[in-house]
Amino acid sequence: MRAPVYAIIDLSTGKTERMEIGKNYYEKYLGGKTLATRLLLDMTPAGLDPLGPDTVIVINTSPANGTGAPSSSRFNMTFKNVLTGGIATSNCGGQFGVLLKRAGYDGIVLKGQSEKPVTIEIIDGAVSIRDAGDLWGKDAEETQEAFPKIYGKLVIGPAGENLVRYASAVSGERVAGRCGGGAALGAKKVKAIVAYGTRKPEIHNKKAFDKYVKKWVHFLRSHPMTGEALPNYGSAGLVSKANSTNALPTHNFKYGHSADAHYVSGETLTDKYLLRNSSCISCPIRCERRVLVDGKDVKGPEYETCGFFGPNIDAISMENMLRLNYLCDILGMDTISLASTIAFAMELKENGVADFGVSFGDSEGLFEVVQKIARRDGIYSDLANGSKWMSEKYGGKDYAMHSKGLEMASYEPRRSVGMGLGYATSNRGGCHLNGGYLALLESVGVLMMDPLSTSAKPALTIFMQNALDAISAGGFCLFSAQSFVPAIFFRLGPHHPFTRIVGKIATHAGPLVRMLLWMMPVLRFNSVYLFPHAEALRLITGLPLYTGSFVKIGERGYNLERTYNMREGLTMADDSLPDRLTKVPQDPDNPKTVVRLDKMLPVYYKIRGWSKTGVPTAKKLRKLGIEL
Amino acid sequence: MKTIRYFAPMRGVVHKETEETDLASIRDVLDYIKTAYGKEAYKTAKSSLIVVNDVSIGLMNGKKTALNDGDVIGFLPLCGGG
Repeated sequence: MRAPVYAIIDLSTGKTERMEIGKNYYEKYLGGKTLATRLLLDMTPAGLDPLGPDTVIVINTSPANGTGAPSSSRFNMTFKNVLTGGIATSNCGGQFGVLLKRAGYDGIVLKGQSEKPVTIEIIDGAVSIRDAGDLWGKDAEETQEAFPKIYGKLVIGPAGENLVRYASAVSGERVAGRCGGGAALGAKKVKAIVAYGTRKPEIHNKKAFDKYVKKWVHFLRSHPMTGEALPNYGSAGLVSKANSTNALPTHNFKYGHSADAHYVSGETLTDKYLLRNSSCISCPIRCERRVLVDGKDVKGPEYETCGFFGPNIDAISMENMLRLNYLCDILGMDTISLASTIAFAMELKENGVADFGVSFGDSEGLFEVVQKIARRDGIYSDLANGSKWMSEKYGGKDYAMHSKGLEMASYEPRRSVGMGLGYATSNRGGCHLNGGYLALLESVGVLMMDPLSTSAKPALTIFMQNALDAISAGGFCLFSAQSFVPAIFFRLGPHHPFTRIVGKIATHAGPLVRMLLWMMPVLRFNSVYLFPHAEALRLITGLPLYTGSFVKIGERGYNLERTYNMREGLTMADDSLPDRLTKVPQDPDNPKTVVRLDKMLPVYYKIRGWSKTGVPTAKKLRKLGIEL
Repeated sequence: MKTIRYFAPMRGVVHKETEETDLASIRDVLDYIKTAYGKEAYKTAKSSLIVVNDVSIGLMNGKKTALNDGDVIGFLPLCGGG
């Protein structure tokens, strides 16, 4: 593997330097979020303002990007989290990453702060910074239309310019949605970054790689999840499933089931609104929905958006939800944090605390509100700061549905308690993916563990957090891992006795998973059925990547992110959830329907090899080869 | 009277979206599907996510779940995402 090359762009001086990543770094951290976190730790002191001039944004690729491996177009943004003050990693499936790599750079590091709006152009290895005064104020779609179609683009909309704390960065119709990356770019006055080039990615063993890709694509296409469910229904298909297990956040997470969920379900979307499915570059899964909004062919909503602009605000209009999804994309705002903050504002009104003109059940009135938030008009500027900030000003901390400041995704953790642990421990805040996504094994998958039992959840959460981090570090979409549940369970169905028995056994598999975590160094094999990513990366890079060492990269990354959070002042007190989830049973007649963090966190810390206060120990860091 | 709602892939096998029934349990509904639409439909129905009034039968009595007047039985696809 050749050394990754990064462009260090100083926006204060306008100068660019070329930096090669050392072997000791790319072998340990691979790329993407893991390598970026290492660079962020190295390049910034503690305590910076996330929107201040000295902070740094790392936008980078991974070894798999652009190689043609399945679902491998995702690039990463890492920066100081605008909502939490800890680590932010946000990845995106647009074309930008692939074209940045073709332009000659594996990543860029943005330093300093421009005085006026700028565009950064990276064309065939040459970096130039140009005035973007004429683009400032334009939405994400108009901004991208100002550049040639063949360019890879990463832009912000008005929300990023106005430093909305959950502003997203947009590439094509894909977004790096979470943690406020749009605001981080807006603070530096970077309106757009565009890249173009023709350099081909290097592949260590091209012949074997091409053969393996064929095998992997065949496997993905023949698996019921990645070959049928995701292409047919997209992630929106989860609405009915989550609702059927009382895991669909409803009325600002007060309940987990809505009688009206079918209005915004994936089945309704497919039956009545879907034009066709589509995909990111080199993805055989094709989960993207194409729908019409006001006569225009646009990207449809994901599960989270269906849930949050549907049952979580008691709304039933699919048409409004589709339009709100599109509006958020062009304004450049994360639909999860925005809609969850709106739900919080609705509950403030319901409780007579404050009135922002938003009410449960009314999605029609949100079009104006969403635009006002993006512009930070008057009182709507408060909503632009997120639910944590709002709860500190207005009260209602027990029902501000975030962890560490990042609003939680659309899984009700009182019916998926491992997901609750994941939300609480996720390094970037209330994120299901960074949190290990145990909901897939508890409430929305085919194979269901006991969703209320705390048994095995800490060990499984750790395993999944590490594995998902490794997949992201490689540059792959996490959907490419959804084929790890064997196809046989889909053929039998969730109600078959065998499926149910395996789910029950998994509930008690804690010791086995702990042993598996311990055995990682000796797992020197690769299989297309488990983590096909490891073999693809081995063939691309020539590095000795096997199942065990691959997942170990994820563990290293997770500990590094945690170390960054600790450095920035976060503590175990931040591994928390709102009281609504930990103290109020979802079902008043079933006291088990709460998230017992008090029970799971100590076990989680112990298995992680952290101190009792949740700090990665020197011994642990040394074992992982992390030098500080 | 109860209503059965079929979604893909069941819809593609039984070629209808809904039908009315007077059957007393999920097991009866599955048996009816086997008789009326054949083995393939029965196999597909068994592997679907089966819900009664949008709640999984896994949270109730499984295939023994009793049906009441006005209930809506759904045969839903298994989906993924995140």
